[in-house]
Amino acid sequence: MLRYIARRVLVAIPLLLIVGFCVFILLDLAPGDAASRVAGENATPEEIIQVRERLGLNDNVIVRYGEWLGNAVQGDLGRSLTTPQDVTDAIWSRLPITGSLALIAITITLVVAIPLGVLAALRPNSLLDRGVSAIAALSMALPPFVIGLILVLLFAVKWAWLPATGYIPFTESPSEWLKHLILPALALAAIPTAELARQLRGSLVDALGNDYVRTARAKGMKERTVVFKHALKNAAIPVITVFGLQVGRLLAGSVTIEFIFVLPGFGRLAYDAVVSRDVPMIQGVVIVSAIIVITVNLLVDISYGFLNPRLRQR
Amino acid sequence: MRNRGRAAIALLVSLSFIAAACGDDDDDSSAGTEAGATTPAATDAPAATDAPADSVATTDGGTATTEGATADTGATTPDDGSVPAGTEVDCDLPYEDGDPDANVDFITSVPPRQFDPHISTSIIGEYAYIAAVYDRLIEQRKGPVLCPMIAESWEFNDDGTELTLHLDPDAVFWDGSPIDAEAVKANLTRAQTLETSTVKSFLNMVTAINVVDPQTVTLVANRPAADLPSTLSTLVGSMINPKAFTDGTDLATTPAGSGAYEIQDWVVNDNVTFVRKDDYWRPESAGKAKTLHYVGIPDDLNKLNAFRSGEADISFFKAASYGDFSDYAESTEGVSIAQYPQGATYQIFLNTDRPGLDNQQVRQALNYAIDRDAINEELLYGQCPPTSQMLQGIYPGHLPELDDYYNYDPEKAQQLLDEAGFSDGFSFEIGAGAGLTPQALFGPVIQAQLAPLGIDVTVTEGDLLDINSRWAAGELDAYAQTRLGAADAGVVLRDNYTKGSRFPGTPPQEVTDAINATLDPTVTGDDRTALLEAANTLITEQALDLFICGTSATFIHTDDVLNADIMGQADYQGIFDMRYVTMSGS
Repeated sequence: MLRYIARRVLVAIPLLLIVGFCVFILLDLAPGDAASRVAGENATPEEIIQVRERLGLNDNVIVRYGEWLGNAVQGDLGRSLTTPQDVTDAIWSRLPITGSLALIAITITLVVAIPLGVLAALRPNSLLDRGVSAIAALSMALPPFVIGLILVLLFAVKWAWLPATGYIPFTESPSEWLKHLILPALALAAIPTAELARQLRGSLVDALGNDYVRTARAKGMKERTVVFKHALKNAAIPVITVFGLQVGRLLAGSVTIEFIFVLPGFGRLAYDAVVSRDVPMIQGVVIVSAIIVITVNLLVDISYGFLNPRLRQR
Repeated sequence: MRNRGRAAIALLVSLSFIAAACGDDDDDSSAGTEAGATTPAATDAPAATDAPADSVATTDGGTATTEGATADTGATTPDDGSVPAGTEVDCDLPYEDGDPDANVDFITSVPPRQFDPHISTSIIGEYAYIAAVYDRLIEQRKGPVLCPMIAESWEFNDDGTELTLHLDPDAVFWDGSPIDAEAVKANLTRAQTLETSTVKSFLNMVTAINVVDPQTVTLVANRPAADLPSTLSTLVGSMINPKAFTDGTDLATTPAGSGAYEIQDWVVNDNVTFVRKDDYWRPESAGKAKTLHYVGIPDDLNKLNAFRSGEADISFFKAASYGDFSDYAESTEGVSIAQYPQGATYQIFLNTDRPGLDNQQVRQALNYAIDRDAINEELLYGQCPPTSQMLQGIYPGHLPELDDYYNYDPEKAQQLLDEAGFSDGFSFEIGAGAGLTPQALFGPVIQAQLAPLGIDVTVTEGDLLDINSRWAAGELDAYAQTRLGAADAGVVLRDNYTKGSRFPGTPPQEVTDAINATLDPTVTGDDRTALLEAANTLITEQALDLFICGTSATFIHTDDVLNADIMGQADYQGIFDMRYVTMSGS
């Protein structure tokens, strides 16, 4: 297993290099100019040229990538062009907020999707099953920002139960922390919950049709044991694969959700960096998000071994 | 294969950040371009006042005379030349005291990015935050009027090329060291010479800064510079403790200030909380509220949602959102709209160096071909009165008869085109910041209204920064934007029609001369008003812009908020100056 993990980590290195390079190329091709932002709104064209020169933005994209890479491998992701922050500090200050949001969204996903998926699988084609399928389809059809706006209008504006915007750190007030994150987490969790419930329902229906389930039932095993100990464990592998993919989706979804709910998280940092052409910050955000996705995928792969002993022996 | 697929997904998810975030730059660095509606102020008129008595001053020619200096500040006449002789300049607006322990929650469009005034990328957009921690040499108050702050008085020499500032001897930085002439010199020198300074161009007329004595400093200019006092009332005139220039303080994150508030808590690019400094050097002008909490929310719908759910006491909003905000205010008890008189204008800037647009008759034809009333009613809820002039009603030099100088007259427009040799029309391109409302809405409307004359308009929407840069570099024919106000009418004309970043074409020499004449501080009172009227009229006659309508700042607030209708600078730039705003405590 350790060799497997080491191999995966080594494979991730060229991937990160490619990601970083692609970002440089894309930013180079995209319209807009970081120098304009840094020079200020009253800058003359000459001043913008001077700023561009000072920031090294006239250098070849390969040269700039090389310089960035040289610093990045030493742990220095650079300094923001538009705010007085080191990129690493900015990311570290924002990750706990998005992490909190993702944590609650994942909790909601698991708490809602697993029972619904199991219940629907136990009574296939029943009213419950069809109801779950319909709600899941609706959830997947609605973009998170639409769900978010509906939640705000109902729970924050109409009934004033929860705040519409902002963030309070957990250390300051756990209850306020939860109150500020519950609506964005619900919006963010809608699609993963729907996909996970449908995936679990499908996998479990398949698993429950297998011979070993029939044998277990014939041996007089309790239905709870059959479902939760045998069928669910075997149905879990594709579910975990889907779940792992949802983490990446949560990260991408946080851009819009954090914008709507005015959360100063990792997604907002990404948005702000892009609109202000803050190249070092964009690079840092992309690399960190790539590392997160790669790490989650690795954890998912490792979890297969725990769920299926045969994989452990390979 | 599975791993390769995952690798691809990781790559795509990472890159999706770029794509997802490549939206409109609605936030932009110039919140002042979002000024809103234009009906007369509808807020409660402040009743009680705690203002210090008798700081009413009068101007009389180039030399200040004071009828009644304040007992507290020793204020003398703010003679910036913008006020007609004999006109009273009332620096004592009727500010109410309210609850001294109040916290006020604000929503504005521009989040707090940094606190160094000399590297501010938008001295308008960042004014709300930086002005809280740094006093300026001169203070802008509603009017607009220029009032004493660190400089208790100022005057020009006979030819208007030297501005002498007399500093308040009580003025001190937070650490107790004096804000003296050496400190002023150090600050202005830094603004002019710092490699990363973004404000150099504002002081490019200053050739020398001479310390006369600890309380007197003289700025020598290479031309008559009536615009200098106005400049020194912006963030350019912020006074930083010079010790911070040499001790390694990162001023972008750690203000070394002189202002009425200090930072209590700050999340970069999101929100900031200020707490009042109880040992502030001007106790009579200290902050009214104990704490001020600003949140930067670019999107107006999010602003309204936050306000409706009780997370803010006052919020700025754009003209294009007037309907939503006013509906809510009208249907909700205890909520009001504060509207200032219009001080800025929405216009289609024209590059007068481009073929076709370099012809005065063609530019006039464009102005006659536009139905401004329809634009105002259909796009701006009737809150943006049509105008054909730059200087709006709050400024000397405004002429009411110029508002309808270019009444909608397609036949006259065609006649002018015929005379100019453009009977078959011509084509030009209007640039606009994508998603920037209402400016981005103007392009398609202008396109439709000019089409019957054979004028083919191409509307190019793009990233605001990119469009702005292209405009400043002279690469665009036209640009849908806001022409902003300033504390002084001459500065309004100078900034909008002589600076390349706002007017990349070559202005007619007579316009340049007329504007420069308004910047002579030795000409004051009625004489200066006449010069401003002449320059303003020339700009209209020359049709240097495709004029649309006059706009002003608009805010929504709860009725507990006091002094929201007399915020300095808010009246023409849509930016909060919250020092005197507080809560009633009721």
